[in-house]
Amino acid sequence: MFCTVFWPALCLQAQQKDTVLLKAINVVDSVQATLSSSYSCKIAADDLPVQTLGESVDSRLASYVRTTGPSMLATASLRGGDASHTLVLWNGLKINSPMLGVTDLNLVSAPLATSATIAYGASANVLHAGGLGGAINLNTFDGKKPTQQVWLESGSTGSYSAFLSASKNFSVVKKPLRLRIGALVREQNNRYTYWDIYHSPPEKMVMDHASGNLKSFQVGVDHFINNNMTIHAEYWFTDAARELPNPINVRKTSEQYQWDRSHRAQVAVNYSTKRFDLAHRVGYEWNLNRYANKRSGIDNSNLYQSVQNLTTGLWHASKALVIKGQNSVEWISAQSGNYAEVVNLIQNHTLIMGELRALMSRIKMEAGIRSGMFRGNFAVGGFSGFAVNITKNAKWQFYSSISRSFRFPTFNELFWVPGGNPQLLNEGGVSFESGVRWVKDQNNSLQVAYFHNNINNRIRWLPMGANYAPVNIFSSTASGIEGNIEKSVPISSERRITWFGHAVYTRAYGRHSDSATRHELSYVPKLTALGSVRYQLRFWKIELSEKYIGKRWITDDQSAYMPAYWLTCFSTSYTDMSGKLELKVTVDNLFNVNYQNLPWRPMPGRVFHISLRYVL
Amino acid sequence: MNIIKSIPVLQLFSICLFILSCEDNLDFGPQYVDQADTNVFIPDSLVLFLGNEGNFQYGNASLSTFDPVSKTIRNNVFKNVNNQPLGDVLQSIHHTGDTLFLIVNNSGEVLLINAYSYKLIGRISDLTSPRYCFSYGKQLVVTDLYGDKLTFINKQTLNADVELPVKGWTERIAEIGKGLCAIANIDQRMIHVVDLKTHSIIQSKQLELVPQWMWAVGDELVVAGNRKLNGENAAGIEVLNSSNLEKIRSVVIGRALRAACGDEDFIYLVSSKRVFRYDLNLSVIDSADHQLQTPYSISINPANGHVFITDVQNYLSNGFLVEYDAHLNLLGKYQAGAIPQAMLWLYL
Repeated sequence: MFCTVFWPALCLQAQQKDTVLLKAINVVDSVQATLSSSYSCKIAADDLPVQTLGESVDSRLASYVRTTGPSMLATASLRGGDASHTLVLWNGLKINSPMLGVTDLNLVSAPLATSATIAYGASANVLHAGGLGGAINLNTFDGKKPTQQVWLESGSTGSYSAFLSASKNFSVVKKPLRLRIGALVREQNNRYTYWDIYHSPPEKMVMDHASGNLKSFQVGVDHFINNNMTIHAEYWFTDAARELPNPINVRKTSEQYQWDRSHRAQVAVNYSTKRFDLAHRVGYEWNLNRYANKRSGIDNSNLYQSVQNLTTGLWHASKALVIKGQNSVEWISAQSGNYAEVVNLIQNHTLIMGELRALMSRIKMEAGIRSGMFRGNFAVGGFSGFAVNITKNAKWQFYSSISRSFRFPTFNELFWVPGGNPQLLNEGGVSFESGVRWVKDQNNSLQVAYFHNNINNRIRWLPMGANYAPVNIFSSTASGIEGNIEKSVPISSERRITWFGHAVYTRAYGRHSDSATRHELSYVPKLTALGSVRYQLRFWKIELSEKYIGKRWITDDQSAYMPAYWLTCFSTSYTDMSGKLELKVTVDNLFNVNYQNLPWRPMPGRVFHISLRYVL
Repeated sequence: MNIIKSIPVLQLFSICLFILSCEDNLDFGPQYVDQADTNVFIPDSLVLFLGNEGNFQYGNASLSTFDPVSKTIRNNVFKNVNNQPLGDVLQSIHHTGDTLFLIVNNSGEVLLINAYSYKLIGRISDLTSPRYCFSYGKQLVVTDLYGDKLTFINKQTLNADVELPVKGWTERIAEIGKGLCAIANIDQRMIHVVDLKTHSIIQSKQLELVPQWMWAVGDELVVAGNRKLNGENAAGIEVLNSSNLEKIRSVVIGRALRAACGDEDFIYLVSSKRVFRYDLNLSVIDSADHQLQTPYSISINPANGHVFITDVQNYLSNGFLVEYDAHLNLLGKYQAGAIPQAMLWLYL
């Protein structure tokens, strides 16, 4: 397996000396651009390609990633939204499952990833419809050359990983072409001790039946036709097999398994002139999920295929005015043992927006309308906002925006047998944000924002007689403050210290009908925070990070909750003088804190990782 | 070596390791804030045992008792007596002699407790997804959601003696003769007659409705459940002859049902808005709005005919047991555990 996956990449690397050097091309990506008038932040860590998106968000941001265990199902609920309100995109194309609505972030592993942007409110609305909580956009072709490296890692819970990425530049008809390739293989046995506190007396146990393996492979081609036109093409394969453990309150031996396999491909053509930018993307996804419970005799397969056509046009009407139009047509075919028949449907989304600068570009105003059509159901949303440069050098900015978005019901909510409800209404949401940001450079920035979200017609699966059925029953509000800071200070020519902090304070309430009592939303911690400090001295780096997940209710009447927990992570690395070889030791959960992310799902205590990275 | 001396990394790391103290704080699981009621109240006459399903995979199923005379409800009685949680999703309660059988669906267990002291006296484990049970002689027959089987448990050894393959989700059980019981099959929309001596299905009957609720009255078997009628949600009642499962009479109801139960004289149905009382000829006697948020199950006090309906609220909060008189006038509302559902009346 290792040879099959990595051999082509090694061959590519062996020819590196013959490469055609590319001049740096700044890819203007009108598809993935977020707004100045709303909050967004970015993960651009070195380890993004070797982690799943769930692990990256969990370790680099304060966001609460709900998970049933390492390498198991992981979802992010942003700003009081459900997991299905978190849009997940790949270079601007939506990859949320149209059947479930959610994306398992531990299945999103992109070896060519260069950054991930978390966007909220109006920015999420610009990316696509449905991000009522927020959006995570994974970028794998932003024109950056991937770091060429071999990376091996082992962890004390019985985990082994191997990663390789490489790139080679060619010349085709005297035009530069870059081939990128990345592959990751992970095996996680997840054998760790935990306290079984459900049964009396509590007993120290070893986690069993919780193994998972993941293989992901990406290959990309960037063809730079001329200064005006680029073509990107990428193929992305992911394969995962997991044994699903029972929560500890269930005595039965788990015999549950899940297999997931996806093939994704994307072709992007960007054409830009002085006044026009045109971008067209075609994406294809084949996604198979199979769940088997040997005790229960359940063996379900769910398969969907989708083709997305996304066309974006940007017109620089004047120095002050930019008009953007976008149209997305998506064909989805889905089949499941729980659907009466194969479902083939088309979704259409349109966005028209404008960006106006005034007062010597000190004020930027952004506004747009988004519409969607699905099963004859027409929905309209929109946004407007502004950003004001408080200082002349544009380092300080005040911004504010309001956005209205919608989410169409998922295929499962509509067609699941039994229970599917074709009469479901769209979920709707309104979000308001206002904040300030200070950006000095890439490593020195500050951002604080107040947010207020309303979501109505929220869909819940409720028992209806013997079966569960989805109904529009719920509305919620979430408001709070989110902020992040990054500061990097050189102490001397060889020493540098970098701080990073991110925190979200949320008050979220919901009610099941207009007459029902308002209650705090379950699974929304009031406070989540992450702080880290990194000290660099010549070839050494040490990093200490602390994450806090606050108390969160697990019932709507506040009769039960999960306690808050702090987790500390320590890492140290040494890079040899050539800068090519790095040895790193990481200790997750340094203080061996007992905690459960979800009820009766014990998480690992102190875990040691050792990794070796060789930059080619 | 010089490098190591010149930087504080290893020293710092050593200090970190030194200060590491693995404090085994064991309060890191779900915390329940309303468990102050630790009194165990054991009525000496008629008592309602109320099983609270708890939230799926939360492991917070619980058992409550309700004294209809003093109007007192006691929650968490199993945990308070046995000092251990009950399990995940308490589906049903069955009674034989002085033993209560608590069928805990997602734990895959049947817990045996003494009906007077609530003390745990036995545990049948390793079932797939048990739903209801019925005791006959030395054996206990258990229906199953996913197992595609009926399991016959030896009550003395608490082990499975026989497994009878039955395709589909088997649900409620009603005794329809000596050594015979009717088993409802949700997936197949069927009633099976099972010979408990030979562990075999001797007859099956296809229904038009989903047999969600079923009980025997004399020589008749009453089955109620939801169905589709011209593509719309509806429900129905079918009264079958117990001896041959022939349909005697039936009625179609133009709305979906949330719960149903019956006694020797009446059939009680609950929809999302109203409670209906039918006689055994399937004529509506009376009905009333119940004003409940989410009605989930219904039971009748055998002593005075008072109607008890559980309200599970939004499924993520503690629910209520709501009492009406025989004329469906509201009498009281008592807070129970999460998702109260199973109800069993017992004269102690």
